[in-house]
Amino acid sequence: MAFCAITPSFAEEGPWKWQLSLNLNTEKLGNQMLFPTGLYVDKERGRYYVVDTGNNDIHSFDLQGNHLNTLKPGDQLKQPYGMVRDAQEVLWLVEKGRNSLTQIDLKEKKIVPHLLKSGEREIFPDRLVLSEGNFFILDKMTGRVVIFNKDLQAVQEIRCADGNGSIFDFTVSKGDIWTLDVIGKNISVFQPNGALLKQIDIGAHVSFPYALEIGTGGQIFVLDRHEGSVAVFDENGEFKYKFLTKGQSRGRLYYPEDLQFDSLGRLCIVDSGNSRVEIFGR
Amino acid sequence: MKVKSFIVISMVIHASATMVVGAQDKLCFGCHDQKPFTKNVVHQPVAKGDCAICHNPHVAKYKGLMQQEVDKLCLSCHRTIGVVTKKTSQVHKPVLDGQCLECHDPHSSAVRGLLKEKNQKASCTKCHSELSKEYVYNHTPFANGECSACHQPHQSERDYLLVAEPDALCRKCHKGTLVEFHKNFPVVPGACLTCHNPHGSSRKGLIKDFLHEPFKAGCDGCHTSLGGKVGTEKCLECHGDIREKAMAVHSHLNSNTGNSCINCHSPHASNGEKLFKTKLEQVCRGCHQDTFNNYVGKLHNHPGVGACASCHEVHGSNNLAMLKGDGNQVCNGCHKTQGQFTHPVGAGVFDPRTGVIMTCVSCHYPHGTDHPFNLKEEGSKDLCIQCHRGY
Repeated sequence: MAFCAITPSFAEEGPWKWQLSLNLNTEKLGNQMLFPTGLYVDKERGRYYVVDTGNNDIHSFDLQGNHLNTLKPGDQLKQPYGMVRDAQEVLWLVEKGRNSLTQIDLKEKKIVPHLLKSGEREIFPDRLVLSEGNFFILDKMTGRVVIFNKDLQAVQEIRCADGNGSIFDFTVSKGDIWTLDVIGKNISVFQPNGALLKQIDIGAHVSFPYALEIGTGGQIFVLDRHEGSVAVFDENGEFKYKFLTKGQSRGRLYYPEDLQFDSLGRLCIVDSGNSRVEIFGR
Repeated sequence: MKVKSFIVISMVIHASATMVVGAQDKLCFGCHDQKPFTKNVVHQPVAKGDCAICHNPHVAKYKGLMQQEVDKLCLSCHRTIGVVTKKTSQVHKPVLDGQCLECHDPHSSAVRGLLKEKNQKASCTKCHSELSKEYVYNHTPFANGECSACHQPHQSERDYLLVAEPDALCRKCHKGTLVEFHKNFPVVPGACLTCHNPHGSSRKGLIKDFLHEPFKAGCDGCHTSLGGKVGTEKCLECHGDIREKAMAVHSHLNSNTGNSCINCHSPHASNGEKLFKTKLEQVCRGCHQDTFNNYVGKLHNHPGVGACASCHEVHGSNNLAMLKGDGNQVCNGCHKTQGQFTHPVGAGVFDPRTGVIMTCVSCHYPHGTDHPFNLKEEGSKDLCIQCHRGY
């Protein structure tokens, strides 16, 4: 433990081992990635797309972590936050600076920001998931997950199970919507029609739960932004273990933003404070 | 015969032991004036004459010939003090710091609870000095110095160390008068503390001093339907300058109730002109208790660490940790020379661990740490060799 503290070229990761970093670090120019907030894993093509909100661009990497390209669509993005890619290869980007879900067709060279509404209410888009042709968008204004169809019409709203809570992140797994309430420190699982299936209290094991993801085996991974750690629960909500710690060294996290699994089952964590994406494998 | 001898010897040994135990206080008071130990309320070990439970009569490592550090000693009997059940629970700072004797006399006192001061209010306002002022109108328990009517002195699951949730607490005394005293209200009022100061006020009815302008004018300015909730969009109609901040990469928009503003602000009345629900530090703690837990009790804290808005853009920010700038800009606001003559920071200076530009927060944790200058690690080696590995 003491050795780890003074020679931090590696971090304690439990069953997960650090494998690689996605960054734009060069000796002369430093890390050219400024403030990554979003990650899209293109499982079909074996690509990572990292949304760099600090530089208003998107970087692509291969599975070995080699930087492939930097996209600056029209040189006009405003605080891009997260992105997905649809079956027609169109990019959909949450642009916080425009409060829009922006459609980017690279083939047609078209960029179209869409201002979303649910009824008469303007949506402030935050987290974004594309599942079975529908867009699941976290509305920051209300802390609810709003489901939009392919025509960007709001069809359903999912709200926190507890009256005063607030959804900070969510994921879609086997059709169900798993939501993370940062204030109540719990996970609620909803059916697409909004019916609550179950609620899991994780308060005893996390300080500031900020993102969640469901592993291939059904385990729940919760990213703790302030502790720089990941807490793992089984599908019934029983705590299993916690790994990683706060810091700047390789394999440590500093104000991490999001986590996802890639096509190889590796855990990818958007490590915003350290301007990189850290990838861990078993 | 053998049995009789055994019984006699046992009785002698027991009598000797009793004489030693019972004689403690007589021995001690041979030198120590007994008067301070005989006030109205006497600590149980003192009443029993068991001085040696707390004090070593010969030699001790701790001041006052204490057997252990004060807090460990007290907690060896008072085992529930400071014990919390939830991560969001709050522990009173003197308890967290093990400073039992800040409030309590360990021997005897004129006051229940072995308080050092003449009453609860005198005890509490030693630290909470802003409450020692006289209001024009005073809440009766506050006027009577009965702080424990509403507050737990050691720990609580609730904000402000309350004994119960605010509205439920108020209704314990104010039963059945709610509607009577809120005539012409469109709904049965709740959220008492959005309007009332529970200690005192210059306004009748203990209404807080600063009123939201639309509230002053009446309910209709914001509430467009009977009992209708007011969404954030309504607030932004007047406070349009906040909208851009709410669209930042990280913002405090996050309310399931539909109005994020009232997470921090009272829409009706407040003790301050920015209409915070309570002191800013307490407002932030409502959600960020973990951040406070991380630095409270650390050996070194940043002065004024509770003034969160000094460094953080509380509505929304495009910077990490919702800071007002990057890790240098924020600190240079006060520490104007540090970046110029100390370790290189800023443009062209890269942190070898990450490749990002070195800033103050590469080495310092600005809230507080156990290391001088709020360094993240011990500053003579551990911190340095994270980057300077060749040395």
